[in-house]
Amino acid sequence: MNRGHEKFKEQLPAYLLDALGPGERSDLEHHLGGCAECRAELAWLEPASEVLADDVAQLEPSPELKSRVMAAVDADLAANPASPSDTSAVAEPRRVKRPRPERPGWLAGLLRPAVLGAATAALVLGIALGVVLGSGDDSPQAPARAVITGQSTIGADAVMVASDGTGTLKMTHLKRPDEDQVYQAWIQRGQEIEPTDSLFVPNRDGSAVASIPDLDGVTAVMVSAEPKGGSEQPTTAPVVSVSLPG
Amino acid sequence: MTDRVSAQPTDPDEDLLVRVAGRDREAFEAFYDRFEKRAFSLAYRVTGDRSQAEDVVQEAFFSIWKNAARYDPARGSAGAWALGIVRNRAIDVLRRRASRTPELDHDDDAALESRASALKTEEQALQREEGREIRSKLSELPENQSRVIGLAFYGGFSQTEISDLLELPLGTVKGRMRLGMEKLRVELSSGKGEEA
Repeated sequence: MNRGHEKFKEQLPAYLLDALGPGERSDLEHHLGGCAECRAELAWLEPASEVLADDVAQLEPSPELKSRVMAAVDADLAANPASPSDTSAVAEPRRVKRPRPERPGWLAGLLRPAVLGAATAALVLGIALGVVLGSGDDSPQAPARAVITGQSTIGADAVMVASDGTGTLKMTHLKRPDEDQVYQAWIQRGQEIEPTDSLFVPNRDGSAVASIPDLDGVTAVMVSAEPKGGSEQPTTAPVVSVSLPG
Repeated sequence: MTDRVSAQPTDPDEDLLVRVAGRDREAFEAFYDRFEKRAFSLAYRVTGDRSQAEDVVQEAFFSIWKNAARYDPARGSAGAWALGIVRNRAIDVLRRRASRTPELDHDDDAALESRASALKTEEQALQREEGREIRSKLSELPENQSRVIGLAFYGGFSQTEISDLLELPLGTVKGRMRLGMEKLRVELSSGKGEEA
């Protein structure tokens, strides 16, 4: 076997560990294309690198991480509706549901000034800016798309993108909640305030996305800081609110 | 609703990824649930920072959501592919962090200490793992072999960089890396044999 082959074969462990320089890597990949022995050796070695990914102390991430990941996916689904062949992904975007609350009485409590107070009145009852943009698509099937600017009591910027009956609330400059809190999105239908599954903490740059899967009849979307795990009814005043056009 | 996953359980991860490629939110969530802890643990092992590790996982899984169609079963398991994305993202974070520190100067111990932020992360990670009950396969290798492998896989260092960091001849680093990986692979084979 020639010297070049032996050199490449010896580089295979480093290749799997991503420890070769760019030139070495390129040369080795070129060699692999024509060397069955090295490909076989690489396939044999591969589990050694794969096991390293799991060879670490197993730790639990924060409960909010999944919410952040799924919110990003929901935002993508809302912003980029699926093709006709996979409309199921859009038609049924949320499968995991928290138990729906029995809330015959808490709505009244929620709307009391002690809970939402003047902030709610100011935010929910009419400070929405309501910039509605058409989709620019005349197709009868094209979903109506609206971009609505919201309000914040803590200096955040909030924009709701409503499309095809779902909404994506995008926020920036959102400060992190207290350590034992997450943000939770709420929707208002008529006089009722309903919780959503959107629990999140902002990214390090202050950005956050909350998904609202069903905007039917929704007149406002709000965000408040809640204990980790979320609440069945708001326990603090909303920090972000978007009023939707009727 | 069809249930391809339960009907074809030969490789549930791969099947889920196929559905994710079709923008199936439920499949993505199931895939995420299967790998969240492993992905976060790997990202934390690399970055040594919970917040950064969570950002890595979020970015990596969004990439998986967008690029699941690119997964090629011929090139490894779905899990290895996903964790590879996590590892690469985490290494990117390390490299960005290191790029904000002074360049390595062999004659300047302070610069070396500062530049090797990932190395410090490596050491901190090793310290964190001391005393944990699960047995690290890497730690079963001779220390000089496990160190160079750990610096490459968890620290993102090239062989040349490891040679500089440890002040070892490049040939020594290459040899230790190759011997360690081969030994790790042989031990994996013998472990599977015992289980069988």
